[in-house]
Amino acid sequence: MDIVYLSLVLLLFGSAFGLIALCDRVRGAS
Amino acid sequence: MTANGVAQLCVYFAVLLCLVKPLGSYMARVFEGEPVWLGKLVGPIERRVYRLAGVKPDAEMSWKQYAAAVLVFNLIGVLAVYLLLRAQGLLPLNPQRLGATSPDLALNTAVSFATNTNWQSYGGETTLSYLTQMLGLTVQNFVSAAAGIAVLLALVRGFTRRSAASIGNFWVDLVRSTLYVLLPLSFVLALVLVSQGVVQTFDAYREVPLLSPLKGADGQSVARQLLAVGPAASQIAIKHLGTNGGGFFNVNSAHPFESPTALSNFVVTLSQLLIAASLCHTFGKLVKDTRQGWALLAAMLVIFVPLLVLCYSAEQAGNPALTSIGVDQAASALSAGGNMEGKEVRFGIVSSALFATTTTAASCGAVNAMHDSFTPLGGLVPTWLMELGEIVFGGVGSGLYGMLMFVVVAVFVAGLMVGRTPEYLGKKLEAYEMKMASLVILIPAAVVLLFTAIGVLATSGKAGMLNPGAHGFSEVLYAFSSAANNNGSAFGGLTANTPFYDTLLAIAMFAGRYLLQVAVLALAGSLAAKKLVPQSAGTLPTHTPLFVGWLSATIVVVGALTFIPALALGPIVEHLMLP
Repeated sequence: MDIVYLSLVLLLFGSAFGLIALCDRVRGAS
Repeated sequence: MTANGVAQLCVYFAVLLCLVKPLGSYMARVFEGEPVWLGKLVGPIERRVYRLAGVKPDAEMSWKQYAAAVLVFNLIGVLAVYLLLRAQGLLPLNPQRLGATSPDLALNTAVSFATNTNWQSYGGETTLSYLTQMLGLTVQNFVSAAAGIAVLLALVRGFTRRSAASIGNFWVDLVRSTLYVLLPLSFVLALVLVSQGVVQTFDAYREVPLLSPLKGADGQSVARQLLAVGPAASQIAIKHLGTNGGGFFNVNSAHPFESPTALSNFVVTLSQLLIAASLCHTFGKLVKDTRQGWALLAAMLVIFVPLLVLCYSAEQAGNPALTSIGVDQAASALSAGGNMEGKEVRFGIVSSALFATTTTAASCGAVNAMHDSFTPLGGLVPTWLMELGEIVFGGVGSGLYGMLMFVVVAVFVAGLMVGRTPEYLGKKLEAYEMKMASLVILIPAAVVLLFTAIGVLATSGKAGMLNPGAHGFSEVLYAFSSAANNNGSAFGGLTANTPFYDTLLAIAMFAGRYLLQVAVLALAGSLAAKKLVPQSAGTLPTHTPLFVGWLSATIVVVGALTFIPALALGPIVEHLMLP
């Protein structure tokens, strides 16, 4: 099960990095 | 309410407000890099840390680099605590030979402490080794609080810098917050706590004879008891100062080895609001207008004090169900009176109500009484304080940057209403700033309501509820309000150490911390890049009582509109069902 939970951790942090990119794109567009 | 209780509250606020200015001024000097008296002692350590970590303290970061540094640092923290929890059975400083935690509990605990939430699905003394408590949890207590301050400082630079591409250096903010603020204060508080009887030892748990033997549930005579001890004082000091809240022992600050006396209870309750309140003055100093900081502190008090009075009066009035069968709940010379279910007799009603209100206002999450046993209105107050977004004082750093998001919204709405260009501290607030501030306000609210709905609909969620009906709903609502707003206190009653709740609560804690920090830093980057607009007759003053009232009203209206429907299904209906 460790691999499942560690993958979830990476997925969550990946989503936060995705939000950085999204916020940057929104700023560029506005 | 009793005269004694009101006097205790007055003393509490008097001491707190007296400390705001000196500590706030000291922190402002630290964060501006000015010389402070601790510099001679801490300066060489700070420089050595930078050298060892390869950090160039003068290097500036863009908001994206700053946000990436925050995330990478926290990712490493989560992984380190996870591995520590899974391997603790093989590691030293484990006199009770406690084994590894389950993977879902390891995930929940690692995310919980890295996000400054400190939700605990476990009992400390039966689950964690001394090494895990010290190297895993206590370290995260310090650095998660410091990371909150760092993000606040980045946002403040957004307001103060003109046409800038950078918002500071995360590593410098992290190190200075830890070394100059959190460590010295925690050291002093730990010594005070030890003087009151809080334990600090590496010895194994002690078996002691009972003063009076008891009969166990199986009818056998019980003559001895195992007393859990450990390096508690060093963890408990930062647990309160850093608004972390994770107890060394399962019952947290109700445990006599965590808070043995009325004095220790007063000091730790004070320390929960100390840094968050003082940061308001620090903010005023950093933006070169201390009136702005006092206005924010006033707005916090305008919301906090009435809620404290509501909680205290509800608990002091007692349980109407008991009154109706003739139980005397009046305060007297020999009794605190009121609703004493779930409260420590050495703290009584007022100290329990004050603690419950400060711990949920301050995003701390420590408890000295069981909130599940509060009256419906008494329990509503802590729940709603968390749901407001942990901005009424809030977490160390995170509370003030959350409050500043509401300032952005309040200034923007006020600007629209009177036809002025919205600006705050000389920075124009436009569509992008509103989008980021809205994200910060909406993400935790959406997570709380959506995850609570999942919790009360799913079979695994319902299995964890101890009580049926409205009270059971309150237990689930409280848990997700606590997690998504990074408070960490538990209502009690909910069996949360299951894969379902461990995982769902971990996701809620993550979203409530890091997604918000990214949005705050994006806003900081946008503000830093703007020019300063000179004040004019059309500028909305943001230091006046009128603005304090407007800001408080904005917070209360947003909080009420978002959560009263959910609260109506829990504590409000429970209150209406009382005799």
